[in-house]
Amino acid sequence: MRALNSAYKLLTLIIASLMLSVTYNTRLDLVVAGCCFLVTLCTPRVDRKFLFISLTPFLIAAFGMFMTGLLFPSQAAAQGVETAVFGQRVIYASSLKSACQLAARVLAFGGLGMLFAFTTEPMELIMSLMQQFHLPPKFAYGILAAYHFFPVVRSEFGTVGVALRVRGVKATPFSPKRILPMLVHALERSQSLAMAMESRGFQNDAPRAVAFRVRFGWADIAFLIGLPAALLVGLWLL
Amino acid sequence: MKQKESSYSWKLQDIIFVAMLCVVFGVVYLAGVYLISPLTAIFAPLGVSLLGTEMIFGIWFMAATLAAYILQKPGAAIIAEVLASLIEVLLGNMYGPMVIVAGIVQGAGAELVFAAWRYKRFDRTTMYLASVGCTITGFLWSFVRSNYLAIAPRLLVVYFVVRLISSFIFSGVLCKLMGDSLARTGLLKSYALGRAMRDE
Repeated sequence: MRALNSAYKLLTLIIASLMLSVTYNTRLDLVVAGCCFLVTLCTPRVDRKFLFISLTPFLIAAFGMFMTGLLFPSQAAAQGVETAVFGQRVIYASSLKSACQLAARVLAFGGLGMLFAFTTEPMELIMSLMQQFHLPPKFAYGILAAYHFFPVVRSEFGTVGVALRVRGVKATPFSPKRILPMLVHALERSQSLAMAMESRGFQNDAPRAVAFRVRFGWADIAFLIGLPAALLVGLWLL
Repeated sequence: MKQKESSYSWKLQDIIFVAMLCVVFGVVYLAGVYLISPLTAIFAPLGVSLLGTEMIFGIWFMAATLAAYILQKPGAAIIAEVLASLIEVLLGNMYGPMVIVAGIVQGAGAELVFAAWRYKRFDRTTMYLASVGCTITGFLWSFVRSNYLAIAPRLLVVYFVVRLISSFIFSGVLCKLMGDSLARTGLLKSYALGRAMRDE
């Protein structure tokens, strides 16, 4: 998984997600989720402890959707055999089915996303978007520059909150009073970054040498064709 | 891609600025997720787990409407939203591929509104309508993706209304307010919004 070209891997997984989006096959969703988890688990250099921790939000989300499907089924889904669950609420057998369907969907998307997140380096993704998908360099390096400021912006969010509190100003996390200083910083930072890059000779259209070349090969094409094909076979078999 | 050759081209600074906006709103969204997580824990067993997320959904659209409001050029809303989703993926969002698709769909909703006025009107009306636009396209996509057909229509209406209110407050009202105050600081001189403010 790590050897694959990041941008093509993203494209393949988007295609797979779109295919799952327009079909409703609970078993296929579950198989996809299971396979993705196994492949991620078996990929070398994956932080396995973190992988298991990351499963929690998916499981909570899937549980939430399951309960939604169970307690709020649509008219079409609610016809079927009546069974009393929990002693008091009437649950239809088919709403249990659609509840499973809703939950399986969340898990399948989670699996595909996890597969990508755990086996891809941000830098590699941007570089392959630039080299294989012709993302203009000014976008590629602009995004990378901003992305690296994430830790700074995050700590700034706390600092601004504390600064406001010191002055006795009440501000919720969503208050313009709190966001505006951050936007001002973002603006100033983007100006000085752009100036710094351009003064060091950054030009969008100039031919550039690439130190970090992302490979693209047969394995990527095989994955691009193979995964959607496997899904089609799955749809037909399951 | 066509507008890049025209006078609407993106400068490096514009790109970094929009990407920075996305990072800022990414942090705000994270703060929102933390705030909302106890609510989600209560809502999940009741069968309305998405209600918490829908409340802060509007933060997702803030980059799109604010970037469009400040830059005032074709493609700003959709490019900003796609950048936001790409940065989200770089930061390790676990729903990776789906986030990119959602970004395109939601950005298109805002873009359509600004395009309907041929990118000539960037005021309260178009900002509010753009926030509604994101909500509608985003919700339609959620509908297909998560198979909302299996969910009772009355709950879907509640979800939609909550998301609409959230979007209206965050990406409509708040973004308009913040864009205007940012312009008043005089920092936006090189942007369309700053110029418009000066001309008035």
